[in-house]
Amino acid sequence: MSTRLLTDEQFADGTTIDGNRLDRALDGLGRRINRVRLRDLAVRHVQTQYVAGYLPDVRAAQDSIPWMAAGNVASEVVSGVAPDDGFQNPQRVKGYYQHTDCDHYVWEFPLYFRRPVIVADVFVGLFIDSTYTNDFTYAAAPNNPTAKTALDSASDVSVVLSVDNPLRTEDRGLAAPDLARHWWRATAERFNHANESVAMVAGVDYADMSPSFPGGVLRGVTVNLRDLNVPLHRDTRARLAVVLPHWDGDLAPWGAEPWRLQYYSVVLTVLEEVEEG
Amino acid sequence: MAAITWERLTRGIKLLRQHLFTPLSAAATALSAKIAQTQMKEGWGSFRINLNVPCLGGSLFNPTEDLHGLFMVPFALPPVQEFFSIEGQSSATTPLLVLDEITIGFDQRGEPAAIHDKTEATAGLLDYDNLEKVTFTVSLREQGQEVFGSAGSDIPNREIFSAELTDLLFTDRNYRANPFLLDGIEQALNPYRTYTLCIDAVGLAQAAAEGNHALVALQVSLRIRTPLIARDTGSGSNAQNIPTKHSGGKTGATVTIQTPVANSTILADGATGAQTNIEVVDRVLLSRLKGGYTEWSDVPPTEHLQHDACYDVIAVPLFGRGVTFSPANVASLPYIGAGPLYKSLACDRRIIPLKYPFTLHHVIAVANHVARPNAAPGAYTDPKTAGGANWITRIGVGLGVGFRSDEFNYQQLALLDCTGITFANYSIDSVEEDPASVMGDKIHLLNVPLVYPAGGTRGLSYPTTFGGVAGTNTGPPIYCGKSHLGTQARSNIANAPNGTSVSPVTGGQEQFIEVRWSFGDTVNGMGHAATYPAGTIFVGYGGHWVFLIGKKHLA
Repeated sequence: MSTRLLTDEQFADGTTIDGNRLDRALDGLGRRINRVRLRDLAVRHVQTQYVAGYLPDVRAAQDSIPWMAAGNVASEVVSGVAPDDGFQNPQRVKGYYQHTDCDHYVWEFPLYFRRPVIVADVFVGLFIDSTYTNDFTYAAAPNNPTAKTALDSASDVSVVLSVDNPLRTEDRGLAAPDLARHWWRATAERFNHANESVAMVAGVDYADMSPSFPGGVLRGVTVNLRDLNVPLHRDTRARLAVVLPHWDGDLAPWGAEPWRLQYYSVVLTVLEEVEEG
Repeated sequence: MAAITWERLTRGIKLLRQHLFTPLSAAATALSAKIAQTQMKEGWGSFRINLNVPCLGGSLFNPTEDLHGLFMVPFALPPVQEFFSIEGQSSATTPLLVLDEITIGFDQRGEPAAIHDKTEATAGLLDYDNLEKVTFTVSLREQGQEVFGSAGSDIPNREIFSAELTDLLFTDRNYRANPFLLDGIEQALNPYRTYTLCIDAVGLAQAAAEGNHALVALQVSLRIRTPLIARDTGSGSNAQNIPTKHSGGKTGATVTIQTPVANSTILADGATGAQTNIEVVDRVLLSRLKGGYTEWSDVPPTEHLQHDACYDVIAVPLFGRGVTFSPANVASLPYIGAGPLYKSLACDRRIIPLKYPFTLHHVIAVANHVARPNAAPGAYTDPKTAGGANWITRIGVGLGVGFRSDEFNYQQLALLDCTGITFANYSIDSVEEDPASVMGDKIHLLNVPLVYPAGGTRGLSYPTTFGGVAGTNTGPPIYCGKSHLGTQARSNIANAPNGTSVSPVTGGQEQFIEVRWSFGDTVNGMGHAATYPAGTIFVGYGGHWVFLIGKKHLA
């Protein structure tokens, strides 16, 4: 064995044990113990959670903000005319699954990380109750989307975490989708299967904690990407996007206003390294 | 532990065993769970105030001169309970808080364009012709807190930083500073002050035929650095719901230094050799220093670090929709019952999954009752004053189990249940823009008590008047963390403020934290025009906020 970290001095029987060598060894010991370094720590990160939420308007025919169309086309411009230079990003989210006969609406959060971080967890909850009544099931034929099986569980929501290209930051086509979840079936992603059978009656509170919740027991579907361990480099511009479908003909289960049928909790968990004071 | 010291071996000095083995023994002692934050080169952690606003639109601002308005989110950063001073005085041991950077971003749909506000028929559409609208000023302002006797104005009067972000940053095709980063702020924050993030975006407000514009999906993040601190224990901090396997305590690593007997020769090798014992310490560093909690609430078999926790704030938005809730649009809220009176309570909730353990120390609720500036006298009505004893505000924090599991249950962590009359009993501070009546009522910071057993051990928090003795009207810290079989057994927790100590109903299997806020009037109803006239601000623009304050841990 030999000393690796504390000091360069190595002592062995038969060699000199000069005071200055011992002095240097003690210096190394004292300075290292009195100022342990990042390399010496087995645990060196702390978590940070970004929490977002949205409680939609219960009335029909309202605006969709913060949800906005995924595509940038002339009909999405106030003047009705495309800009002179054309659209910089005809599609503004790279990496979501684009269904045919379907428009898409996006809720996108921009984030900036000056120091490297590790993405640990992404949670997207679409919750329902006696007021927000998405059943996440396609209608019976012929009212189901062509690409989807009648009466099947909805499988058309995307969650994407993309990172802007550091050299061409505004070109979404060059962004890197570090995380993406598509084609997941709602029935396989219920928050709690037992709660699905609990009757929900409007106006009847569910007293599971205080204050009681008027909409009923907690139920809905969730995307829970766990144990991700995805590193993001320094000066990362990241965007977390939740994409909902709007099928042509306002087909079920999303109808004409897909954002209005559930309320939302979105949580991003990252790990940030400890640092000097 | 204090830093280890050692003697200099000057020329000619006789080598004694204490010259070498005293500092080695001190190092061994330090490595037995006594490596303090001051002994760590990277001994600071960070936390963020992350504010997500679905929409900040020009409809909040008034372009009339002298009115303007401000979008405000106040918050406070009280020390964790072991450092909390009931007099609101920092001491030499109060951990520092240093504001490091702020990032601001919003959704421009990937285009160099402005976005139309919710108030427009063209809401959410791109506007390439009015790019100059995307100009705003962001600032952080400070004020003294009423709960500690700060009298006078509720207007934040000290500016910590301010930055004007012009359209030039957001409207170029080649590069847009969105998200925008402002770093190197390096401003110390006072844990006994109220801070308010202010955004003046009057440029978004409608002038002529341009329409209101908006910052959609606004994400603001304030990053604050602070020294690492010790974690909570069942005995020292009386933490509730803590795994009884370890109760937060530390088992120090055993690092054995074998000192030569007196008058023996000091050798390099052998059990008492210099090289041998230096290598003992060296090997501990090679295998890295342990501490913190695992994801499943467990601790390392032995630990080296004394300070392995960090201050944390989780900001939870509620009722944010880019509108002010008033009688005109109260029907847009869920659960309020049948019109026209709407006699049931509105409610919103957020689910926050537990990834790594978190120990809850304080809950601060921010009740927002401000709206677009309107100089007309009596334009706005405060529902608390109007409703009096009938106006209900209920804010709860709970620990939940039930995510993809057979079990489904909640354990109460904190609860505030008040009327328009008793609202003030929980008040920490109030914030207003200048002048107050122009934007309606104020924004109120409220202390939400943690659960604690009647007649049992209490925690330490703001000296609000609820619950008896000032400053102790809250419970001890509450541990929140997932578990495996070994860490499932938990210490008791109270079931309510001034409640009963019980075995946690979540059974140590918690998976998420839930925050709920309900409000309304079940006697007259929010649609009762005589009680709540047209200008009543049920929820101010931007919604309410709940800040969960506590400790997170090295992971």
